[in-house]
Amino acid sequence: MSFGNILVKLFQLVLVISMALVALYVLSISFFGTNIFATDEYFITIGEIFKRPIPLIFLYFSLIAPLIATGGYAILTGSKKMMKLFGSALGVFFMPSLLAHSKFNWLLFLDKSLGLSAVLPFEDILAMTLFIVSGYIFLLYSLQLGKLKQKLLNQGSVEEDVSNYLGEGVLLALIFGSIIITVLLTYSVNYFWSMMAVYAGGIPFNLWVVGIGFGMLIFVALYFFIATFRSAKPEK
Amino acid sequence: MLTKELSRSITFFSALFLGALLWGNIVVLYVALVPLLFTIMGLMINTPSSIIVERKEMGYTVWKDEIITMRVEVSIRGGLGLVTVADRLPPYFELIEGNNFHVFWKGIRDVSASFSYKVRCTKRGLHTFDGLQWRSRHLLGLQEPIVGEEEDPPEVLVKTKIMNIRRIRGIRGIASSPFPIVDIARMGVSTTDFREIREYMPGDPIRNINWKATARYNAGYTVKPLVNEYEAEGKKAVWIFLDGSSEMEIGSTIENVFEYAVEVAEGVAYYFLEKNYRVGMYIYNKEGNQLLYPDTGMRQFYKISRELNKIETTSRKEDLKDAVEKCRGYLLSYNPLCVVIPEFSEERKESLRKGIKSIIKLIGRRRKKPPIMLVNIPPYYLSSGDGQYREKALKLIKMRERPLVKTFESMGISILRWNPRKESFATALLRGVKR
Repeated sequence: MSFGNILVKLFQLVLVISMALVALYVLSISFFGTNIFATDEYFITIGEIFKRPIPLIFLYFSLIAPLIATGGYAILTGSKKMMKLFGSALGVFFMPSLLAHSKFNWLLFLDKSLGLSAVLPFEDILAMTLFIVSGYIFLLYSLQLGKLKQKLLNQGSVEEDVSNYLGEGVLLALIFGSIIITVLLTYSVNYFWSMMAVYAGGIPFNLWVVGIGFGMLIFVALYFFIATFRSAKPEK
Repeated sequence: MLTKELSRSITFFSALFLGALLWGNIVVLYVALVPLLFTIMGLMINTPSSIIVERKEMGYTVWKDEIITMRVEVSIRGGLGLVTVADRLPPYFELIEGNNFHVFWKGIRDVSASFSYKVRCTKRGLHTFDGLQWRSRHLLGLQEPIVGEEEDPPEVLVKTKIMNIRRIRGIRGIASSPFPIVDIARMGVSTTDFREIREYMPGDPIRNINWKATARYNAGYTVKPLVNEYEAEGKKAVWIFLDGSSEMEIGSTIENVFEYAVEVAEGVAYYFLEKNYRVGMYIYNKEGNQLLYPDTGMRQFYKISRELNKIETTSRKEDLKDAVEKCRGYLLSYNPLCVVIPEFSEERKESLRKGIKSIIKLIGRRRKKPPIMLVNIPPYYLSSGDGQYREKALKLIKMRERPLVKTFESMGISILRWNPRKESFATALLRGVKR
């Protein structure tokens, strides 16, 4: 394994651990109402489920260890299945905090509420979700690049040729680009909204969401249609 | 067509986006932009499509087992991604040095590179390269790969190496080998070289009558004219019988008895044609043209060589006897020396014996020794493995073969056993002649 590959693997591992820690933090805030990393308590009581206090360290490891193990295994073996499992687990950890920021609470049909201990501020949850989603995209694509490299090596390519491949660098650049544009859009929308409030303040939020959503869907569908059916022919 | 990666990205975005719409969740709505923007930006990067791949310094004709250097030049412009270039070799070409598959990373700068590798051509014949193939992949796999191929893949004619048989000594008296160098043709235009005086036979030209010798010889009343006989122009004819059955292919696809048999046939043809012999050949158990008329000169050699280069084995069952029958006219006219390269096995013993007998019947014996040579390339010499067990097994197989060899030796046939791994055919032939 070349030095570059080792660096990539290390970066992926660090990313997996960071993502797991962030997910655990979000979960702890929404369920226990406390930052699991900053609490002075050594024991924690979970409502009516467990009557006796549970050692914090036990809870910490029981949640974080399988998550890191799944992500680490996916990276080391290149298993996409495990990576998807890791992604799903992250989604589950994030779900309560994200739902707390929803406009429509479908649980109300069942006469239930989320009943969270604490709700993370909008900026915090946005930043952390951005980190998780972009990190997951990076992991998924770098896994695919790793597989491609292995396939090329199996086909008889030279290690030196393959190690020249700098796909991960471009991948990172694309992801950072996407994050920056997303953040810019997020904050510019507020300004746009305040400017438009004079004219469109009367339109309910639901209609805005549905209108923008469907408009965007049509735009995206058109874009992919054009982009994918554009055929490139090799020059001779 | 949507690639797997693109559909995955779209699915990821759609799931987040629809989820956001369903729950009216602004956070998820913003976050859904990440996979969308990532995919759009990824699609804006083009797959490298301006690729020029050229082959350099390629010879059309090479010798068998010759190592040739292949050189490929690659130029990639535009786009960003991975380009793989593969020079697909024909079967029986062995990669000796370097690599025929290379990966090029097309970054921001244009790529102009070349690579070379060495291959050995292990089998005679006309081989067509599958051609250069390049595949340009999108950086993230969001676009379909672009595949290009060499338009006119080259052909390489691999010729069997001609064995360097320099000299086979002419042996006085009864030749132990059927190839005495001084043998001369039975038929053909007379030269001025005197051979002998013999009795007149109807058809002899009158000017050949030696009147003085006739006078001395015919002292009595019966007059029997004597004529001078002159040597015919050219040397003897050589006839090669080669077995083209698939049973000859014992060994690996590269190294087998048949390949060596072809080498022997070509070597023998070259040796005798170079010395002005008349050489003809019959390949039995072969599809298509089996007979090559006896002729002299290098043109005949190229004819034989061409035929041998494209020969492929078949599953036909033609006996040597049938082959001899088909060449009957030539054998009777030229009375040639016969080189038989058969499948030398116990199963084919009877068929081979009958074939040899029919040759003897046609060309006769010369001082009890028919001018026939059987070339035996025992397949066990080509077996792989090492160690004492192999050596012992070889000895056992050799002992088992002994009665078969004896059968033909008792017929007066000279058998030339050749171990291609140990010696060249030239050495084996010289050894056979000197014995």
